[in-house]
Amino acid sequence: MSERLGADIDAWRAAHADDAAETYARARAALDHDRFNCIRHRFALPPVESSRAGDGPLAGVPCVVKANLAVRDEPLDCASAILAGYRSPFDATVVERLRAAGARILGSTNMDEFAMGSSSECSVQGAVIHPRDPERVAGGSSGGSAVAVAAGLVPFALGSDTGGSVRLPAGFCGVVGLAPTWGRLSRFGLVAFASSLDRVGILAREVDDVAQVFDLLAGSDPRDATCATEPVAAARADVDAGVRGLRVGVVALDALAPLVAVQREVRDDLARAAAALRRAGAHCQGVELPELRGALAAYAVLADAEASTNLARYDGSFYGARVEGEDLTATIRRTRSAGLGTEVKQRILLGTWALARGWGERTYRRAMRVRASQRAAHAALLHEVDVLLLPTSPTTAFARGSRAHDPVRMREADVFTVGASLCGLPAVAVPGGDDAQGLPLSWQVVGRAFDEATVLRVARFLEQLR
Amino acid sequence: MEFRTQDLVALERLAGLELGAEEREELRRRLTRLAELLSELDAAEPLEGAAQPIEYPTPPLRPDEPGPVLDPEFLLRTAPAREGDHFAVPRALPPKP
Repeated sequence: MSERLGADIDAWRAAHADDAAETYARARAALDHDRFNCIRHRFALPPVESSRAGDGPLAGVPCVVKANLAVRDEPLDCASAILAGYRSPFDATVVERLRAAGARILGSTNMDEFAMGSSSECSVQGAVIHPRDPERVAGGSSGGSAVAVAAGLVPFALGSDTGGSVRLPAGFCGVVGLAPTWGRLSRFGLVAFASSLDRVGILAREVDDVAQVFDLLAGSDPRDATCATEPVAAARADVDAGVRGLRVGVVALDALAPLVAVQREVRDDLARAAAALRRAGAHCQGVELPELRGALAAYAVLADAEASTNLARYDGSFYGARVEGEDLTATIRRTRSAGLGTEVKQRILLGTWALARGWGERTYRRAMRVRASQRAAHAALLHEVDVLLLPTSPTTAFARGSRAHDPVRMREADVFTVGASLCGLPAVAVPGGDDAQGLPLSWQVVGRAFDEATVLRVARFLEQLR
Repeated sequence: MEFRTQDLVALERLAGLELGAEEREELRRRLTRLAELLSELDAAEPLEGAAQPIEYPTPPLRPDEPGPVLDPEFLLRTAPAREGDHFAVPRALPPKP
């Protein structure tokens, strides 16, 4: 890995290498004055006594992690009442690796309950506030992590991405968000939502910082049997290699009408990125993404089916809160009904329906077939081109409360992110320009499995167009 | 497809939930709305379904050797209820007459 340090992380280290204790105290104080409701828990870390930042590539660099990642001795509640008071007995592997690199994990971030949502409005703590416009959503479900980075509380944060939960809030808040290949980063210590889709993701203001953190976290983990043992191709070393000669498939947005309504400025900004890539020597060609709404439907069925089984463990026996009933069944029902929010209940009920024999079972099997056809279609596209370029979302950040009661409208925000989720492909959201309301636009780059290096290389080029 | 109130009641029983009338109606309405989206799946190609997003070699199992274990006292501190060194869970069987 290159020893060159990243823009924001590097700046942090350079400015504060010799006053670590004071810097640390200032970073903690910033979390205490959280105007955006982006912090879920402030961790009770011991004071830093040495003035030196310590050793490691992230020595002394503060960060936060989403409230569904385990940090030993600290609250782990996924922004849900059902896990009130629960503390993790161990560190997630990615947390261990951050610590080993010298990073200081200051706290956890607000999120949609159990990572289920596209707006970060569905939290027991209330909605995360957009950093530019308090009437807009921050995007979800890793909205707290995106806002903490966008607001400058920390130079980087971890989130999780199941159907776009890192990329969408990164896009809405104007930061970089990477969902690595499924299986590239260990999920030991990530609270499960939908196991065939969940990934740990990285958010920062600069692509170079995302690449640096990715290189430190990637790699196999004997405690996660789904974590790949494929060799890690370091991403940071080539991040500035440029795009000359790369083949870029630019998703044709006109072909999507009327199934997907895309904001005019989103279209214009995609055209601007494609033109810049061409000028820099990339070979751009138009490509069509198949079955976008089918992918959205398949994602809904598969994610919710897996959620209904993964969340069965929250029954008041071993974790968090319990509401006593007259017998075991009543205790389980009352505990879950009181402790889970409406959005989570909706997901569990749809997932239960999808897995019920003779009821939604046929729909579930169809969803698995759509996933297979998505895999085949993406494999064919990524045989022709090196990366796909498309928007992160059809619109910029939408108004708070405007989609809360319409699950289809809410999920339409994910229409450009679920394809890479169903196929486990690495994908990164990169800030583009602003729309007429001054809200961030965002491009998304999707690549081949385990080729984060190329995805981040293209992203690095794009971020310089801002 | 329209979800009916009795469908919700049956699903609640399967899912270990017990909703109030207002929340049940809200969720009935939302699930019916979602069913509109799920109709997109009717056109699914006749392929073998995929349960996994991508394929890669299954990692080898780690060595079957004793290692550190979690501290039982720590785990019990966050239990909803405990009795001595045990998690206290709700009674699953009726008391003996």
